[in-house]
Amino acid sequence: MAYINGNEITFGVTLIQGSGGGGGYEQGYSAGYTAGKSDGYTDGHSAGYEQGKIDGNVLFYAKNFPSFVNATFPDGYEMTINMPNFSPINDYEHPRFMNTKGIVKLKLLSSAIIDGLSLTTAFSSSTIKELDLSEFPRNVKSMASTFLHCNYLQKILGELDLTNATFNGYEFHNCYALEEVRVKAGTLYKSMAIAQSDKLSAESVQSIIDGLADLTGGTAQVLTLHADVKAKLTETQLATITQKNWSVA
Amino acid sequence: MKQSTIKITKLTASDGMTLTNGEAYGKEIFLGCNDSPDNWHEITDAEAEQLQKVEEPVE
Repeated sequence: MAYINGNEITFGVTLIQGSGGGGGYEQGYSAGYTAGKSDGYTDGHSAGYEQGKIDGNVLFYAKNFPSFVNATFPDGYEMTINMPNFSPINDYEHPRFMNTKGIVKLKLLSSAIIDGLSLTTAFSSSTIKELDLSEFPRNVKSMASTFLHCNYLQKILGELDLTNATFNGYEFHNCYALEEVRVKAGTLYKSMAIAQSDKLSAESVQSIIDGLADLTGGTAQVLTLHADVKAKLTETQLATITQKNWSVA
Repeated sequence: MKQSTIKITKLTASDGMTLTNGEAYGKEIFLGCNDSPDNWHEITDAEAEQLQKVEEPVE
């Protein structure tokens, strides 16, 4: 269900159905109406609806994180969320789309500068095919189960800065359809597994390789790839990986 | 012109076995330059499957 936290919300979306008591739309609409019941509601609803129709289902949140855990959208739904004042105060406060169904394209927007973005389970088990983070903070600090069971995920847009990221081995577990992902060069310091993604583009594979930090002299970390992807690594790529003190599983 | 020779160590698991260092798993492991075969050991495929079972997150 959507967390509103008393902030005035303008909706451009027409239908959200949450699982469990009530439904996200009804509860969100009700809470938004009550909270903004005044000229603010009238102006906000009207302006937000009109703007939403223009921008295509853009939801505005004043500060806090949007959560659509277990929500069901119409099949093929595309959503853009603008979080201009995104300022998470703990690792729990991040966009949450765990088990969100129906949605195929999601774009997150925020110009906020934050210390580090926790994406623990953020998109796990969702139906998202394309995730656009190109205009969102991408200095990730937790990738634990971020894309676990994202069976349909094809593209992650926006270069991930993994300098401070931790992993639990399930970060890309069962991302069978994943083709495009980019990692900021030299920012990956911890073992990462992307073992079920056999459709990674050549550019994605090279980006991951370029993303590996040079760990020479320290403790080797492990990059786990799908067997087919591993088999296609060139000698040069293999040499590059291992000479940076990364093992390949 | 610069010439260099790079040695890459590859570990291959025996039939029915999987290599692991306790965190990562694989049938074939190309070792990083400071990694060692001593860091890896074989377990059965069944054990490997069990150990890699996903802990489903709870919201």
